[in-house]
Amino acid sequence: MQLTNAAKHQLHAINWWMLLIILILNSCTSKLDVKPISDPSVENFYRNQQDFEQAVNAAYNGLGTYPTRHFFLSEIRSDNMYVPGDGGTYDWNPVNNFIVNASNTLMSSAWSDCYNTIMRCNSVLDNINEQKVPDQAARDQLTGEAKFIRALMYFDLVRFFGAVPKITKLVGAAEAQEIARSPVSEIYDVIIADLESASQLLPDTYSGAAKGRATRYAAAGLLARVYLTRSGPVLFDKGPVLNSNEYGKARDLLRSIINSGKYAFISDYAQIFSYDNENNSESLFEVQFKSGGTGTGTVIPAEMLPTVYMRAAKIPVQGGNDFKFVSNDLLQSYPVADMRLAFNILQGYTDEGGNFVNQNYFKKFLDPKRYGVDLRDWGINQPVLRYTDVLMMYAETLLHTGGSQAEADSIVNMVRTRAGLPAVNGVNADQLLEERRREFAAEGLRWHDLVRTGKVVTVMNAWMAKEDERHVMKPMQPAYILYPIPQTAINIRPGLYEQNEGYN
Amino acid sequence: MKGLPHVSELKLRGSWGLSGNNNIGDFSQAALLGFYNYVLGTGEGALVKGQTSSNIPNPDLGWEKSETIDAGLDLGLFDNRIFVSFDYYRKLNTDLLLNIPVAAVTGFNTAITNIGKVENKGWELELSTRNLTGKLEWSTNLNLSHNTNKVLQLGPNNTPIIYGNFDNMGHHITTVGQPIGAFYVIETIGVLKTAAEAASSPIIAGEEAGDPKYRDANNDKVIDVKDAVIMGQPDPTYVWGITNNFSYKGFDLSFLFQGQWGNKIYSTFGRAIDRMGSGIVDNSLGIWRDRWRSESDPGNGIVPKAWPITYGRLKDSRWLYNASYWRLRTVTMGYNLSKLLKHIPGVNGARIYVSAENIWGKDHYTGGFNPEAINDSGDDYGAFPLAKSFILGVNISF
Repeated sequence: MQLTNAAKHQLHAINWWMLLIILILNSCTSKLDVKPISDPSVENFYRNQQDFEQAVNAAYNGLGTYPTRHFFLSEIRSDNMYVPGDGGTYDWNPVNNFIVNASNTLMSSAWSDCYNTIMRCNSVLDNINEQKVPDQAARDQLTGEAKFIRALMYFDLVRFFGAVPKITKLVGAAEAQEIARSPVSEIYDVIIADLESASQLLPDTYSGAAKGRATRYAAAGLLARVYLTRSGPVLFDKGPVLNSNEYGKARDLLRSIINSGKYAFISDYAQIFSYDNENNSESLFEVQFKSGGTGTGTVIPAEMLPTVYMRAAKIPVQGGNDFKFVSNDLLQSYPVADMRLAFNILQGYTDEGGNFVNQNYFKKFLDPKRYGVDLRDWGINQPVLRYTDVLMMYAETLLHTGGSQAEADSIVNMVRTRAGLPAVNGVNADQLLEERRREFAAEGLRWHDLVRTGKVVTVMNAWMAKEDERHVMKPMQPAYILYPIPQTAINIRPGLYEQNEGYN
Repeated sequence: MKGLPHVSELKLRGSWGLSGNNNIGDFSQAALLGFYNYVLGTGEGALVKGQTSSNIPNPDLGWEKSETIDAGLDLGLFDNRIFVSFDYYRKLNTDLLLNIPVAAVTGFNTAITNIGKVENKGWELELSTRNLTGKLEWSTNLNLSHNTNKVLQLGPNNTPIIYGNFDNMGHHITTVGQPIGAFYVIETIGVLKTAAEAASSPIIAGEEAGDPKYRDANNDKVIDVKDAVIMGQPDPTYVWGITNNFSYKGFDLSFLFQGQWGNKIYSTFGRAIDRMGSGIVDNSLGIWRDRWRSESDPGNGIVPKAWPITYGRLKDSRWLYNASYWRLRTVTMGYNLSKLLKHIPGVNGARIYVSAENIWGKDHYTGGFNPEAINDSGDDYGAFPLAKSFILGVNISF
């Protein structure tokens, strides 16, 4: 029988349909294995230099929580602030009062913010190679930046939590459940190796559009801070201080920064923190912020000052935050002539009703005219390491290594002269610590300074006896050098992480 | 049916089904990128684009499966003037698509995973009766259903999923043996009436006379997050509705009552407006008139003192409310105008009616406006009340 042409066409059409059906039936497997085309995914990222630059930018973005973390967990924890809670209790009140528990959300956000940023660094370090980024200078810089940021995060983790899980490559959920806490010394090994490597790989300086990235001196300066932290006397053997006596190593690093000539001491204290003078010659590393509603601002000025003040000062962006008072003790530590007092601290204000309110707040980072679109949108960069700190750490290492007293005195006197204070002779470690307190107030260094110098227990308890009139604070004990491991982390697999001493 | 003259219909039903839920979300299995921008450069700096992983990949992600067994009985009596339908079901969901907590050292707090097993079982009863069939017609429809929901299995370690994490604790828990998203709060058992009572009771650090008294669930002599207990579930165990329809000559009247019981609602809105210490200058609810003021003026023993509050913000049962209610959902009265308008050419039928919705009811919910309102991950955070409405309408069909 002859088939007509039309019938042949029909048969062809049927064959095509059957083929299509067979293809559809075969393409479905039990798992989802379609690669996204419309959504950007990791599968088609990390291919070239531009991708890695974006990945490193995202790692820097992770530092956005660094200033608030140190404000809550270092500044408020320390004798610089008295924030016991008033008419309600916020997460930072128990931090101030030494009654913090493992469910405090400041613990879980510190923990997960640091590890999220570490993941971003590991994504860069796991994927970067010569084929993808052939330009060696670019590859070195990107690698160095990722290591610098990773070290900064591990330094936070080791100072706040002690022994923590060591994650130096990307890990999945199942694998992560098997990784216990590594000893403090092993976390330091990662930090030191990363910073040594970064200080080799990173450029000396940046200009133009790259200003604000990590330099080799930022890495060296951070490493010096790490060595100083390790070197102090041990009050608590699970903490970040190891009595390692590495003051000499710190001294050499700091000296190399000073001798590089890349940095200069700014003679006007206020100019260091000016909205119009970011990334200035004092700055080794600062977290970059910019207002304008792009999600790249900081909350710091609004975190430090209460809504009632912002309203009275006619600043249109306000929040609902607590009253975070500067301690009387810090206030009184400034001699009358000290110009830093009026710059750093708001000493009372007149409220909307025309009444004077006798309360003290940090206003160091506030410029009332430079508010952004909301209270989280202030454009002021936040210092992580500045040159005055390099100089003062250097003076400290001189005192510990039998170096020149005159050199140490001259550094402290530079700082004092800038503040309007008379020069002193024969500076000792305690005086240096007190000068640091006045100089770096509101910069998140105080608690760490007390811990690494071994003064934290005596200083905190002496201060509480004076200032905690309401007796809401628990006495400082060595275990409180660390914070509790967040309960959310412990719940994942009970028994994997043991809770820190003093928090069970 | 021969031999059973009153039975007009009798049917037994049985079914088994397995279905999949592929509502996974696009590319949840892949490691997606998100934008995490930064600022660099001299002056104020300029925005630079940053990208990195925004989730944890799971290449093994698959369908959620649901297996249902249903047995039912339909029975019609007296020419179907009474009609009963009863169903018993058991639904087993496995490989649930859940965002489960993962170790944060991965860089992420949760990952979407096929995990766990949840059982829903219960029954549904429907009863329709035609009570009067003469000039005055009256029929009634009643439905009543009962459901219990239980988690049978979670991840490899059966780690509970606790959510609603703010103010130092989560207040929802999904854990084995309990309903999904059960409430997990510290139980308030009154007020510490005297300084002596405060000194001898387990307290949250900072509590004193006049502050709430809590149940020390783990008997460790302090009240903290570890004393959270499961106190109810968000889904009702019983839901019912009853409709009555009347018609007489051209008039018709129907009303629908409905209700639920067996569940609770946590009001984060109630907690925000009713928790002293959210701001001492703020307004307060009237219940604070009965607060504890002093040992000699202890109030009603339920409302604690107003100020100062130094014991933190752990979530307690004061803002957990019974979500049972009944309500007249709609009432409608109509009149058939067809006879009146039948002489107008082209008009086939017409009806005029008035109806009212949500005008009457009763609940126990003082933490918000509507015990069914859930607008903030399982809680009521100021959801709008149900609208009351009155409608006057005319239907004309051509």
